[in-house]
Amino acid sequence: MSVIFQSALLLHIILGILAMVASVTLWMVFLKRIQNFRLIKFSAGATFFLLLGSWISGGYYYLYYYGASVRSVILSGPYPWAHKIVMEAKEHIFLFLPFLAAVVFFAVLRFREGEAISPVLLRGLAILITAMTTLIVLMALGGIAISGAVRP
Amino acid sequence: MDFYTWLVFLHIVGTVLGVGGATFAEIFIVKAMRDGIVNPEETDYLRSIYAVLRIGFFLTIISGFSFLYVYRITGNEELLYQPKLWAKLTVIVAIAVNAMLIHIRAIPLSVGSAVALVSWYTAMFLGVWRTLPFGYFEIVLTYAVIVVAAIPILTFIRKQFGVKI
Repeated sequence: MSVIFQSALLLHIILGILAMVASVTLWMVFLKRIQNFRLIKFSAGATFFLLLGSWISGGYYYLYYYGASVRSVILSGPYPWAHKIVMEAKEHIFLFLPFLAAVVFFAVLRFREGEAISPVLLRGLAILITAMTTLIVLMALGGIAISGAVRP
Repeated sequence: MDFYTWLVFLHIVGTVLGVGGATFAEIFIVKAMRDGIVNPEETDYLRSIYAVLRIGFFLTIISGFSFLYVYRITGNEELLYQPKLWAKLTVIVAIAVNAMLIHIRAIPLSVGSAVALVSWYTAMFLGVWRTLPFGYFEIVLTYAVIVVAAIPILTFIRKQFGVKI
């Protein structure tokens, strides 16, 4: 693997993990009884931009290296399901994760201190943030399963 | 120091802060709850300990995933399918979920503290025992049994120290 693909993979992992930390932080501050709007906005923004970075670096690695050099190795190895099931699921869920994060980020940007927020909106966002955090964790675990299946 | 040694160093520091933080959280909860109320000074101590725990968790996660990256690029991919690794990941997810539930007060602090204590020691134990001869489900089942058993055991120990529950 060339240095550029190694760097793309490392960036994808590190930014993805930091996005996971930011998303967990967002979940925790959002569901607290007394909400800190500044921290909510910061963690929502961090989740969005970190996911975007992970998306771009992961996408580059996937398009120019994984498809050409890794996929065939996994498919001919002892764990072809790592591509057929895990990667197929991961690449589709991964595509919409930054959009999910963008929805959350732009929704919380409208929050103002002292202004009443609709309970329906709060509940909807809480469900969305929970889903996003769970999906990011599953993406990370999926990434380990895919990497472990590369047996030349 | 090379990159791998840095990772080992960071991982050990993270684990030390996590295990130490979980241990001191339990000790301070026992001390704070002897009179049945947690005063502002005790709250401040507990906040500091939970901040240390969060730093430990963050270091463990970042260094842990960096190890996985190193295994991938150095051709040691078979290490990523070790049952012990997946059991450790399960425990790490349990630590995170437990911390989240404590934070939003969805579970009592006494229960959450017991789960955190057992989970951090389990994670350390799994890291230290290099040749653990058990499968994923055996490890996770044992961990779950210990967690469930630890809650009444720690409640009993807290009562012995005069904690009013």
